[in-house]
Amino acid sequence: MPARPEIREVPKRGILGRVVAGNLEALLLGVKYFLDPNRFTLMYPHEYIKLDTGYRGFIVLIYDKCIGCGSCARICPTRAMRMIFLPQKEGERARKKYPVINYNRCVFCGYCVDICPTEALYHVPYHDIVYHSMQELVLTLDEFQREPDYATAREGIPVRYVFDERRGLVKVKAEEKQAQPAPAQQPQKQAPSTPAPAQQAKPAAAPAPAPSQAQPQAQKPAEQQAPAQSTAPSQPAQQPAPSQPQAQPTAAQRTTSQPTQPAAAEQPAEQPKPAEQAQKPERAQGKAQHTEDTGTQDTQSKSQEGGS
Amino acid sequence: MVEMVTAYVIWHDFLRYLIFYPPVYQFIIIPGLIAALVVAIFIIWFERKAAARVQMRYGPYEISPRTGGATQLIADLIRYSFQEIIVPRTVDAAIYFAAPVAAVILSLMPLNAIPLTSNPAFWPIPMDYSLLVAVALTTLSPIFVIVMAWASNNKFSLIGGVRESFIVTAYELVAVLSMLSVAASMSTFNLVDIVEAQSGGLWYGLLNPPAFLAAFIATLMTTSGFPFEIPDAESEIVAGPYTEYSGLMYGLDMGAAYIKRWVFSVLMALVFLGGWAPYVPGTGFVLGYLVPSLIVSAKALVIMAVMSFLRAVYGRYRIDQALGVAWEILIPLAMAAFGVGLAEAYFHVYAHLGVMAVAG
Repeated sequence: MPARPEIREVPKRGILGRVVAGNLEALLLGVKYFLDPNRFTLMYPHEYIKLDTGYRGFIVLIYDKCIGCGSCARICPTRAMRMIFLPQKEGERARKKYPVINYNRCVFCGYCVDICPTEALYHVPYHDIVYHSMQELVLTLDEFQREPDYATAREGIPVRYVFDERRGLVKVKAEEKQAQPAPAQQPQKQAPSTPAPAQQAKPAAAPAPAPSQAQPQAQKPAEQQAPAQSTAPSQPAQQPAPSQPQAQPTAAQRTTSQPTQPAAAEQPAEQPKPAEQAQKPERAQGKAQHTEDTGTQDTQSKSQEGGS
Repeated sequence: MVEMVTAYVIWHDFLRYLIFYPPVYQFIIIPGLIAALVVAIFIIWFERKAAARVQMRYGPYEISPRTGGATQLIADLIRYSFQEIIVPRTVDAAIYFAAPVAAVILSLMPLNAIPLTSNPAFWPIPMDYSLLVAVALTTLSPIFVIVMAWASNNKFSLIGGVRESFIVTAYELVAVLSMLSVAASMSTFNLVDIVEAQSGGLWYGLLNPPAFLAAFIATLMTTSGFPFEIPDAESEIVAGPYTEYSGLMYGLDMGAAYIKRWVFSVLMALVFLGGWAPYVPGTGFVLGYLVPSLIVSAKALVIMAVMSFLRAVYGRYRIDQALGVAWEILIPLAMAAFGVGLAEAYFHVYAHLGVMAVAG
């Protein structure tokens, strides 16, 4: 039953009616709001609007689901999304590409999330994040898999705007129940949460067992995704040979990639495509991180499999 | 016999004959310059907070959340004081600088014509015709706003000055008539007598509401209070007559407007709200002067608060609407108020209280 608006005669009859009644009405309304204010200013750093899931905020990649099809990069209207190769053994063709994003260009249209055939991309429901420089807005594959840190949520109270029948737009505190629909996306949530501990655990285990251990694991998910991948058939042949040589560059990069040095950039530059070589040192250095990250991701996926 | 001139004597004479000499005291301290400054700071803060409450906002807040942003106005004041004063090359410099100062001083003048106590030792002038003198002095300062506008040599200033002159011609008759209707009703211009006649609780604002209303609206018009914020309408002409002023000079201009409003409020508190009415001034400086002056100031502050609250409620009238209101409604209203005052005199409303003798 829709509420019927009360029809009132706005221009009151006679000059006295207009002057007296109109002014009195305005003044009484003002006094009413003065005594009982209904303020809906968002005190932004102290409060923030809790947005629903489905809001097109920052985009996060789930590494394990990505099949490297490149649809996201092709649909992207602003060319913010790009596919990059993972570094492979020297002289060999790259097997698979992964998307990275440049938030300088992104318009948050969400086409990439919509088009992704394996739902490897998803939005986080927030967008108010500060970066210190434009370079930081160009994410590496490693950063692209982490949900960006939402500092506002740590400091502020979540609020929500609702329409009240009587008072109009009202600001209310958002209940935590609104966070419940999230478990439907539980598998997505795991991806950002796990990399951090995995990375921390890595350096301890790195020196001795890494060359032998990491390599078989690295091949494993590639095999799993093989049916979905057109370039997969060549993989089994590669498998025994590259185990030793490929591990050494990774270890070398791990030591050199912490300081920002072009020396680390030289190593992935042996890729077949000249376009990749022409990239800037920052991007190349980020790629060095990608190599490291693929290792962590693979160990992590391996451990998940072992657990299940 | 030569009296010793000691430091004590000099200091005492300085206080007695310079600071606490009533004409100087009323001009400088209460209710003059310093009190007006404090009141202006409070009123601007209140205006912003009240408008924000009504318009579903917070107003000044972040600078000190516990006090509701009260120190924001101090910060603004400091900023205005230290801002560079930019003087455009095309202005008439002497008049450009002299006019705001003259406007401020002439706005403060009426405060020297009003009593704040019934004790004759603390009157700045003899009080026999004080109401007439005070009302006459309030009409002096608007001319300097027009002078400011002319000296600025700016089209926005000029339009603002023309609007100011329109408004002045419209409100002045209303203000004078409604203020003087109390003289018609009590047959005296003596503000002390007028206040003491109301000491029984029968305030003139209650006996003659049309006069109070007309004086209130006329005050809003003269000080560009909100429904009539026409001479310095920000969205139409930048700052009206004050467009070319910056820094402290702009502060003086705004101060002149607020002082004018304060002066009218004090006058209205005396005439319509009974001045220091419930209180009977005693002897000595504190009981005989300070306390009644604070009571009058509190009443005037309430009037100013109501005036600034109107900013939250009303939009801005066009110049023709404001002039229509003034000439078609307010002047008849003021005439009617004067008639009511005469009728009260005829029926001896105040005479039977025994406070004053009505002639005839």
